[in-house]
Amino acid sequence: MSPLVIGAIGFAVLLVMLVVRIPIGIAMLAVGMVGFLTMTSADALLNILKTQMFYQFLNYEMTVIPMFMLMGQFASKARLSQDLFRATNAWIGHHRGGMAMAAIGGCAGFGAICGSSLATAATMGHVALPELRRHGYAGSFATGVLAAGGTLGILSPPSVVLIVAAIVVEANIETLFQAAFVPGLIATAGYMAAIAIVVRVWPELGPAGPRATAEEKLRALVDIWPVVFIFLLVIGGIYFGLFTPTAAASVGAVAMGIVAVTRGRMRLKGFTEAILETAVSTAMIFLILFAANVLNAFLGFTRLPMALSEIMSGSGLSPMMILIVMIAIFIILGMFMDSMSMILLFLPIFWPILLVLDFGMSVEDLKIWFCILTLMVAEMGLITPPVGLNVFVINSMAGDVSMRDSFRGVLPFLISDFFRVGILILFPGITLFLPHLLK
Amino acid sequence: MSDAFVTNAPPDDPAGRILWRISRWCAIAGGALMAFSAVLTTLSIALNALFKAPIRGEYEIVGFGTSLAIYLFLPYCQFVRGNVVVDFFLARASSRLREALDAAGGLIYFVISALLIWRMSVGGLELHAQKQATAVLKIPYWWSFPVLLFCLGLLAAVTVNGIAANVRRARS
Repeated sequence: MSPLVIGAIGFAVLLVMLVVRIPIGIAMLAVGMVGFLTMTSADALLNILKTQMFYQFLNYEMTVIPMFMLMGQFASKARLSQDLFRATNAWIGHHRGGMAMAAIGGCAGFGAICGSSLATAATMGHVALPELRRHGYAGSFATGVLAAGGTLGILSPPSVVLIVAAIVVEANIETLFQAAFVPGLIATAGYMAAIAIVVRVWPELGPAGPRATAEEKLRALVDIWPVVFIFLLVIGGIYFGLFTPTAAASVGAVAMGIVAVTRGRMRLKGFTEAILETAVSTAMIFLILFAANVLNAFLGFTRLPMALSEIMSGSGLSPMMILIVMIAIFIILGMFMDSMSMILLFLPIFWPILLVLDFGMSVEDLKIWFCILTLMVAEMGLITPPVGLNVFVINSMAGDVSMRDSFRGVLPFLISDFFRVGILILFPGITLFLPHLLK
Repeated sequence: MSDAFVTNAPPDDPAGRILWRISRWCAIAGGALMAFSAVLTTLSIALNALFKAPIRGEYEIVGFGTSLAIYLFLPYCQFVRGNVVVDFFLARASSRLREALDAAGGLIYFVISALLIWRMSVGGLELHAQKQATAVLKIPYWWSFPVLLFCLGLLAAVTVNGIAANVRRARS
């Protein structure tokens, strides 16, 4: 059997294992180990298992992932989402659809201190969903707004998914965080525009809220100083090279922990919960990271990624066409798979293909641009049917809204997502502008 | 990543309850290690900014601490079934079939963890013999291995317990 065939069989077996509910990390490890053994020898496999996992987890750079997780958990416990929503709502809630826009603004703010979409959706949902419903917002619209708003958690830096993408293509995390900033702003603006259009066409979906007094507005603004402070400290520190990402994440976790405790919102029980949540997501991610390493070692031996890359570059398709096909594949996969595993499974296959194509930009720029595009479509997977995790989370919170209605509520935001991805594909300069400026 | 992981009640069987308690404490210990690492990094940065005197080899301690934390997290993650699955194609399958497939996944994970225990014991002993240590603080690498092997052992026990639970539920 040729190595290529072995690689293809391995990949097919992996996909079958995923379909039958074998946890992704475990399936990747199993196929990776057996494949590695087939391509080399039992001795070679037994040999790498001795220290591979030890050295991979010992890597200081990797510490950034659990630290950002911990920071995000502390931010949830500190209930900063509540302060954020109150502030944005005081300023724009009295417009038609304004409360929904305030929820989006709050999500963007929370996303700027939390790297997880699910956490952003969940914590913002707890705060904003009851308020939206109380003020007469339709259930489908309110759940759609919050599920979509949650995706701003990974769109705006810090973003755990972006860190994982950076690890795969060996990009600089600092640069990617810089690159994500403008697209994150565009995403926020795009969602607000979607709300404005929806309430113009169907005014009954999102009535105007009460107007806040000038004093309330100011007080609400003062209350969000920890968010602003920690964002400037962590992300500003990374942008301007004051800290390494790991150091910034550690400082952020400490600062956030202090805020949560001093505001009287996190006691021992909350601290334990935050730690256990961090433990589960960290263990899950690192199992997949380790598995991806073993799997990619196997696939590398089979030369499958290189062969695919040769086929694609010799196919006569234009580079842009190939890129769009990849993005489309990511969107489809994202409907069924979680974004982290999707990136770890397919980015190592897609990236070598792109690398040999000519997009008229440097490899470094291509890395940045493609990682941000990947992030955008990975985020879409959280709100596309049939398995949009964010939609599930918010929908279960609402209780009285059908799943179908929630997915309908998400539609305007998905359309906005498609527009944004299109714009970012057409104009790479939007993504590359800030990293170039800060270089 | 929902609250369900945390509020997860301890299982009914005695062995499961003990394993649940140990894995939970391990996860909390791991979290404490991480919190300690975060504070240490922050302190080092502050000391560097104020007195140009960072904590020597701070990143080695942080690397060690966090890597141990990850191993300490693994058994709890498996216990609460925190490892993501593609839960779409068989979402409407019978609970019996789903339990059987979950048991199969657990079995694969058991074999992998057993293999890792064996190989990493060898690896740890080799690192000990070679006197491998970190560059600045000379922390011997093998120091991690007792903890890490304990965690992998606990993980193996948790997978076995999980398979037993799958079988019990499939029968009932």
